Amino acid sequence: MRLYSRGLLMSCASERDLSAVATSRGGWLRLWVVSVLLTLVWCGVLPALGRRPGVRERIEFLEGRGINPSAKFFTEQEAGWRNAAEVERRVRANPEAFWGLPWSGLGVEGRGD
Amino acid sequence: MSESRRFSEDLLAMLVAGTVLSVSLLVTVLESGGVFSESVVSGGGPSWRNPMKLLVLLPAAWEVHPFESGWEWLRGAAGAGLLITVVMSAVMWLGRGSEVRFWQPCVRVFLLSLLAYVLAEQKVVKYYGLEYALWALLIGLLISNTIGVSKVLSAGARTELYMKTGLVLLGAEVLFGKLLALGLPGICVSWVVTPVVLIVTFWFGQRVLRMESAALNMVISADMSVCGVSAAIATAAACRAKKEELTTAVGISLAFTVMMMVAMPPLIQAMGLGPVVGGAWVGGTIDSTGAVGAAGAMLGKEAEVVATTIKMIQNMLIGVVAFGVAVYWVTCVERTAGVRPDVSEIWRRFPRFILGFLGASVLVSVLYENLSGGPDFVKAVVDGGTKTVRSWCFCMAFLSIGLETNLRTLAKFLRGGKPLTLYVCGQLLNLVLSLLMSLLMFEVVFPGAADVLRK
Repeated sequence: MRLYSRGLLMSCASERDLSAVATSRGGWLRLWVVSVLLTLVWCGVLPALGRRPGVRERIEFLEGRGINPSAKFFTEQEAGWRNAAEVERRVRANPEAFWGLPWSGLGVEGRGD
Repeated sequence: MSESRRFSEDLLAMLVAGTVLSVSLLVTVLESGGVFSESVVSGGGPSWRNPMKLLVLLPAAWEVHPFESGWEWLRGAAGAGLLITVVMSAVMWLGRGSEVRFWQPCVRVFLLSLLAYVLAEQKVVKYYGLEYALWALLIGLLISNTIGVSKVLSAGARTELYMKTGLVLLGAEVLFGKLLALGLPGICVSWVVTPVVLIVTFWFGQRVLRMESAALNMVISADMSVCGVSAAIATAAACRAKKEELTTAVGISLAFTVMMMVAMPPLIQAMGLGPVVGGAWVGGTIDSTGAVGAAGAMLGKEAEVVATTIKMIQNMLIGVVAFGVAVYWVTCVERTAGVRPDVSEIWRRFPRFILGFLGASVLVSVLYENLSGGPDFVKAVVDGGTKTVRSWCFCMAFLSIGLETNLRTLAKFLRGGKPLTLYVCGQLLNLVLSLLMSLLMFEVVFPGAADVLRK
């Protein structure tokens, strides 16, 4: 068994415990049952859910906007790059609105002063 | 230590990530005709292309079966598997001569990760933001707690290596210039509220809840206040959290992300908040980057733009948080009682992969800002290669965690409900402070900015 030299992301007793998990018929049976259930859910239940009008519309709406609801970082969705570019363009065009504090003397757009 | 332990896991991870990043940069330059091609000199700007985009892919989104949009992605996934296996095996051979057959367990872990990724790409699953980390963990847990983990598979379960490689590659996506994307209002909502919530939540966990594990406290505080799973991974590696602690934090974060993604848009509409304040509130509070986009879009285009931009600025905090946590851990948490560690001791214990993360970030940020067509070049490098390999590495890391975790051990971390209490209290503070700051910035101090964003 591999040892982590400095304890980073080390497990507690789990690695020792796992070696004791018997590769028994019971284990294979449990794995088989769960695998069948997963297949049924992913190939039957979820596609049926996805065909419901409300869910379908939402999925198509998000796809159309380039949004990936399971993204971990802004680079994982097209909307992330696109929206950032759009905001940066507006900030560059209106620096006083985003950088000018009211008391700094810079006119702030939209305040009527 | 034997000769087979020459390179640390941090160094191996930096070598793997450095190789992938270098290849991605190089092939993009070669494919597009070079940095100093005529089109650049004439001011037209090159059209950057990364050939890796066709060869290294993630599974495609699907509705009824994974191959409904063709088999292309499977070829790309095989390409990604080949690249990861070859580079990792070569680096392992270079750094730890004895582990010459690493490719065999690596391929097994990759194939199981492929299964997890395919499950995550089902459109309904994706719609609810249930990302691959969850399915990779569950597949690993299922195998380890039913039939057990074979020796070969166990040898491939290199959580630390995959995670740190992914983190260094993630550094190439952290562009410092993006910090200023939304001017002062963006900095105040993202960079003032977020660290305050992080520090107060951690203090609350240590002093009020008296959590047994400071690392678990820190990982939950970071994933709740910064940006969910990616922040959890970075802080877990920085503070040397246990696998079960990372799993617990990610599980709580994913559950609350789904709830907040569904609940916040109608709440914002009921409260009568405008799209700019509403979007800023969504961006500052919902953990996951993808869920922020989905919730923002439910409030309209303006809210989506503001929400995703605020979250993007928070994304840029990952490196700073990981660096700060690593320094705090080696100087305050892990030090011998009453003894102040000197600089050499801090350097000895400092997780070096963070330097790789920051190095990648600085390199790509400089290219983004200074190269002709920099933004397009960086997008080609990231989208075409590093992002895909990073995603595979994180998926393999979570699968490895599942393979090495016993469900009974995991249950211990949830006993007493302290992690859940910590998350709920921290998130409530986050909700209150983010709302107040959004109102202050866009309604009181910078109403002109809100007007510009509403146009």
